[in-house]
Amino acid sequence: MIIFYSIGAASSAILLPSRRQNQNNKYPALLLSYALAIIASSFAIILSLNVIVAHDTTRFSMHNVLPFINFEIKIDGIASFFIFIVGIVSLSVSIYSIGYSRISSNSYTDDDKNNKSNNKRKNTIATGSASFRFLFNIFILSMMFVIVSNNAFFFLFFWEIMSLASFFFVIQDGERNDNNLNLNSSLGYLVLTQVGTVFIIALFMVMFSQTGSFSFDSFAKSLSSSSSTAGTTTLQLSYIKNAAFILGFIGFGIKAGMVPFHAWIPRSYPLVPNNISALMTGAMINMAIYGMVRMMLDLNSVGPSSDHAWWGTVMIASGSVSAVIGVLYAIVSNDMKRTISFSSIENMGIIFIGLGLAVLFRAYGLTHLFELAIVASMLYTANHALFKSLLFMGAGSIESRTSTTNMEKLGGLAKNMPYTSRIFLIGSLAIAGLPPFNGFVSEWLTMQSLLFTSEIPSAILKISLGFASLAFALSLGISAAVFVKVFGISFLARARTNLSLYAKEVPKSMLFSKAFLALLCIILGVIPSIGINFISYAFDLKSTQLSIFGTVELQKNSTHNFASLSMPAIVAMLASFGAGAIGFLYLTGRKKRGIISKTTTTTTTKKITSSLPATEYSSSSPSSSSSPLSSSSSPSAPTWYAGYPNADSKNQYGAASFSQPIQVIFKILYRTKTNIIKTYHSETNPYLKKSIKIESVTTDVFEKYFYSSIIFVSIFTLDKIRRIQTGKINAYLLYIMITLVLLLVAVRLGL
Amino acid sequence: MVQATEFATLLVGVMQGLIIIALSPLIMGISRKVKARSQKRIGASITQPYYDLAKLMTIKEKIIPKDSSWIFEYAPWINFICISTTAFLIPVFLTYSPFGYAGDIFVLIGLFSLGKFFLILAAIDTGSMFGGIGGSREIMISAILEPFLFMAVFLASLTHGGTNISTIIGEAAASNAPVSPIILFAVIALVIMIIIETGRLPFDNPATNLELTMVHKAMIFEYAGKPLALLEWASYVKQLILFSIVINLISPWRIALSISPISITVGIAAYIGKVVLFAVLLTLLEVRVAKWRLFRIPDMIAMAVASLMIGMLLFYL
Repeated sequence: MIIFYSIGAASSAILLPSRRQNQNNKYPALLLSYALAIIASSFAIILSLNVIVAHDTTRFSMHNVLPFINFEIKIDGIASFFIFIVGIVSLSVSIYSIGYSRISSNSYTDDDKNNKSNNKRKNTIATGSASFRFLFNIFILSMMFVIVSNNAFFFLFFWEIMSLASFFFVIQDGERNDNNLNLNSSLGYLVLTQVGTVFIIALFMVMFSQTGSFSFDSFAKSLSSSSSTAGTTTLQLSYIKNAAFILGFIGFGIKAGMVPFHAWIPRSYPLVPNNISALMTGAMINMAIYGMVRMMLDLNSVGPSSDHAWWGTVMIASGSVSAVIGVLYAIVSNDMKRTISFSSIENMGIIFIGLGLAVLFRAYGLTHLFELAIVASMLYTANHALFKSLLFMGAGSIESRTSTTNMEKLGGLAKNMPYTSRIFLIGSLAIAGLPPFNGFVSEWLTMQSLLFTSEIPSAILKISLGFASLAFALSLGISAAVFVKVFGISFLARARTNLSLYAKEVPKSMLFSKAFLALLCIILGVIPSIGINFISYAFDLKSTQLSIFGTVELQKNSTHNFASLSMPAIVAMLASFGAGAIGFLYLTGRKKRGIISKTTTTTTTKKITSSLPATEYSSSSPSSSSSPLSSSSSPSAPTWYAGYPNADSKNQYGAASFSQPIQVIFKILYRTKTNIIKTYHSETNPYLKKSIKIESVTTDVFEKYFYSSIIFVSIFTLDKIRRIQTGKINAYLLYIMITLVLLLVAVRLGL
Repeated sequence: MVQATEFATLLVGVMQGLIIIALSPLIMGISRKVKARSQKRIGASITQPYYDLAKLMTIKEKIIPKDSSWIFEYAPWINFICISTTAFLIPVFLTYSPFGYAGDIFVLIGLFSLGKFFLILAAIDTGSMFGGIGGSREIMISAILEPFLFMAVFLASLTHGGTNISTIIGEAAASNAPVSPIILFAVIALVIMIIIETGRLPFDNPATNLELTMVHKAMIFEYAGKPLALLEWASYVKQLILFSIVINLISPWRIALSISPISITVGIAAYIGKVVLFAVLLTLLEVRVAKWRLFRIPDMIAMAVASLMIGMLLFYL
């Protein structure tokens, strides 16, 4: 019942804007199409909750939609978990889009004091247009269908719709930057995502060759390692399974943006409108995780044999590399959206580490640890969807008000956009993995799964996993740095340009949608048992359910309390200690008021007597240096710029300088080129400089070496192949002839 | 009866936290005194940090840079609360902390980073270039410190069976054997971490006269009065927390194994003795070295990671 409704609502949402195609920028139509998307995603959320709580798998099938192919829908726990994520993200993004499209259409007539360029206007027309809304709904719907499809054919069909819809988003916003770059990056996206699809098609073909059916059920049945039916030996089966793993890993890995297939992420996310980038990163990228999980747990399931251990190792290795590379490129980028995109690569890497650990534990038959790792990675997936779409929507709010995402042009937004800044701060804290937010819980679980690799019976594997955890920890440390930079530089201190000086707060619908996600981030962080129980219900894990305020407890050898985490207790401690500290300081501050002069005089005399023979005060220097300030009566004082009186906003520390130390340390990855251009007042005198300009360019090493070599090789081979295409009929007849002969020989030999 | 012991445990737990918070300025005073004496100065009295804090706390008025936002005002409070809460999570003179169940060493690291996150934001928020410099360096150091902290925890959890600090210290106290070589590697790494985190030479020189060479002090440059007192105190508390962990890991000698008046008294006395000794040794180490360039910190950290890797190989092979 519910599923019909949700599909119906979504599909009507698709139909409606397409009818009104020619009436651009009509607010009711806009509201209606997003309202339908909101209703549809709420139903999706309810449906998935229903499936998860009731533990019943919903099935639905239409026979012979196409010859030999049944359209099957199966919603089990795994599917409904992902439907839930997509539902939450699309719900809030739809609410957000109402305000976002409206701002955009209003800015047409809006004041031009922020000297908004023409580029901005073109972009905003696109976000409000009917075709945009049509694609928006199609995009969400195709993701839902990818999840529920129980048939390889329809899975691929909707997968392609999803990829193409997102491709149109990338290309349609083309007027923002220069066209060439845009076309370049959208085509790059298209190529990479299509290559990924090719691998997934190949994966299903391999499975089809084994089963003779496109249904996922038959895949699961015939590839489960226990039954070696249909005349295949176990050896053959293991070959097929390995081949399927490699194909699926590459195919889904491209969609997830694993290094070195990550090039499309920083190229496409910053270009699409912000509500779509929130959807792409919050929902679409999870489809790759879904595909991976479906393949590992269901279709091409990992058996308890160490043959499959290398799968886990491969996933952990690529996950660690992606995490480190992603975060290292995130920190040097000075564009907010580009930074957040790179950080997506990092998060995907961490999720892959968790999944790889799950595979590894399962391969060695450590069921409890498998459950720990799967909970860790799935919780991270859900959290990533929440905070990443939150951050993209925050970046979108900034862009809609300042028309830039370049951090060097922002600053001081915390005063103009107080609510957006607080919500963005929550998102930053969550993604940086700090307690008491949700990112911390999932990172804690992933860390614990890494620590428990000591249970694996292979020494070499244990040691290498220990070293792999270094990469994981490094990426965590630097991701905190990334978000200190993003929040600090763009929201705090003084506005660097007029763009952010005159920014206004965004409308309520945009705030509400972000606040909703921020609230979820806090709830999942403070009461982690909700998320953990939810996942163990959805994935049907055997581990015991936690009570609501329970402690997450891990044990080793069933005697020691290995690790425990009780976020409610920590939050309570923080709160009570905070109250205590404030009360204590308040009291001491008041009590001392009578004897204030006495204490100060005694301390000063003490200092003087004790430090007479010394060269310097042993007490801290800033306290003495800031004491002259305290004599001023006004509560706010100008910042001290080393005595330089006319410091303007350019004297602040900028985004590039903030990340410079890390850039220097990891310089091998960036190949930074710095040009210093000096101009002089007169050519003969090199001491009077008119201006000094410093340019610093970082390059993506992967783009430079990996992709360019691939492009070179493929162009080279295609060039050679082109010689076959002579354009003469008789040559083609010859080719047909040769093919026929070869085929006949092949049949004759019984190949 | 049960309630009485529970109450006693709770009381001792609170006492452990408060002793760290109360004692931390004294440890700072002692190490400053030692530093002064070794530089042939008389130096301030060891209680001077208390006087400084008391003086700063009585200042009523707030001075806020005019470009800053609410972050600047709240950051010292958040920082102090985060760090002081972790004081309750660690065992001090008893082998366990009754609150230790709430969170393990990752929570401790997480709360430290939460405080640091806000501190760096506040430093940026002043709009001063010194704040930016300090913040940028601090976050760089803590980012590259993270992997090797994790590695140290990894080693400790391997040898002592857990990441709960109470479990680790309890195991260390229960095993009568002298320090295992594996833990020794972890301790080498932890000591390097303490030197970096507490802003000591050769990595950071808070007593320098040039803001450009500071790390931690450059960040809290714009603070005065009560917020400054909070920041200073929080840094003292953080230092003592790190000292306590290392001390109890290396030598849980005379640590109270159960709650009885005698053992607790002995435990407290032994604890204070050990901490003072550790602080003196660390300061003597500090006065022997000159300030290093900022970009030599990664080398030091690489060394620490190498020592941890050797420890790990030793454990598994």
